[in-house]
Amino acid sequence: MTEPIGLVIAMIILTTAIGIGLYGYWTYTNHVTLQNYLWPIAEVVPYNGSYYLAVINTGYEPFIVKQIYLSGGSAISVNTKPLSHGQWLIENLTSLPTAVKVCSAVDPGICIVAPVHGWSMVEIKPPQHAVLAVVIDSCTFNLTKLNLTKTEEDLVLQAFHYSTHCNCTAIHNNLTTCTCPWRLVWYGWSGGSVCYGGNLTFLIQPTHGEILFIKHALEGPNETKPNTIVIFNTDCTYWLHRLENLTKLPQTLLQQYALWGQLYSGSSYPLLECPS
Amino acid sequence: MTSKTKAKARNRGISSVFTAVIMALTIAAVIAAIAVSWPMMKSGFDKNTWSGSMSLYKVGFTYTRSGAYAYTQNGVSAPLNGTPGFVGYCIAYRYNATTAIYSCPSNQPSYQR
Repeated sequence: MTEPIGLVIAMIILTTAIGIGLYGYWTYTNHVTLQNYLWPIAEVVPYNGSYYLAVINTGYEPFIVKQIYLSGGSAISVNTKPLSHGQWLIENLTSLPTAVKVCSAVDPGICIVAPVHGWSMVEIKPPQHAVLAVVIDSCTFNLTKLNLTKTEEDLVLQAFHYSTHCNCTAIHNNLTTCTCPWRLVWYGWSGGSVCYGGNLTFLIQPTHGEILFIKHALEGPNETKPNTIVIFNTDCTYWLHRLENLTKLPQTLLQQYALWGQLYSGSSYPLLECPS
Repeated sequence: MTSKTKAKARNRGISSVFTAVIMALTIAAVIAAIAVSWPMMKSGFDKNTWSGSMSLYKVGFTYTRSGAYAYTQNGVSAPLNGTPGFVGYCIAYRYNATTAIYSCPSNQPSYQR
């Protein structure tokens, strides 16, 4: 009779111990999980004699910025409202911030310390190369080479070279009506262009590499990936006006390339440069 | 059957039950531990992926027809002004006509400056 009772008691003790152990472990994993999903990014730039600190929540777990650590070893408390995904905190500081302490808005006891990223200075330059080519009627400039890499900073617009001479003499044969007997081609991409109602619709399908666009310059989407097609719309009137001016200028092929680069970027900062 | 033999048989029965219960508890505990660990493990992987992407997060600058622009690799672009502004996860401003100052997640920590 005593053995079954002993067995039951042993089972109860064992189960309780396992239960407590699991609960403790669950609490720990919960803590670590919440901590792992705190994704703050803190950055600083010098501005007007002070330091401009920005903290952004790049994750989806809201957090509160509790403290800012400064280079002298001191710290200031801030206690912000919870920052959700994509929200920024901005502070102007007289000392260089080195780290920020952020705590989960879900459980304020869970905190991490994130380093503040420093600044760099860079010269603003037009991209060295561009990917834009112009095709006029049946006359196509053959483009043979394009280094399309994902690592370069100037990924937005890349280089091209032409390989065969084009005998095209007239760049446009009908400037009076708003039609577009020309199209744009991006080397390294498949896709063509169609002109409807005077405005150019340009389809782009990358064959390799992910391409990003400067939205404001291209009046199209921000980016595209291989095997997807994006559409750009451009204002025909603007282009015709540019082409009209172009016809008054010398027509060597190289100059045309340079000028077509200017079509996109303006004369001050051509995106296309003549091959040297 | 003698009483001694009966007691032996009963002990064997109890021992078997005990072993079975211990095994069941062990299996249940292991399954529970894995289930409890999974969100933590996933969060660890997610954090590593995030850290990797942030360490590569950069900003580029260029001129366009309508002025200087900053752009980042997730397709965000913004005009570059004289006051600090946000471009994706970076902040940047135009220091002078040809120079920009910026800070991005891929930059070195400020204490290393």
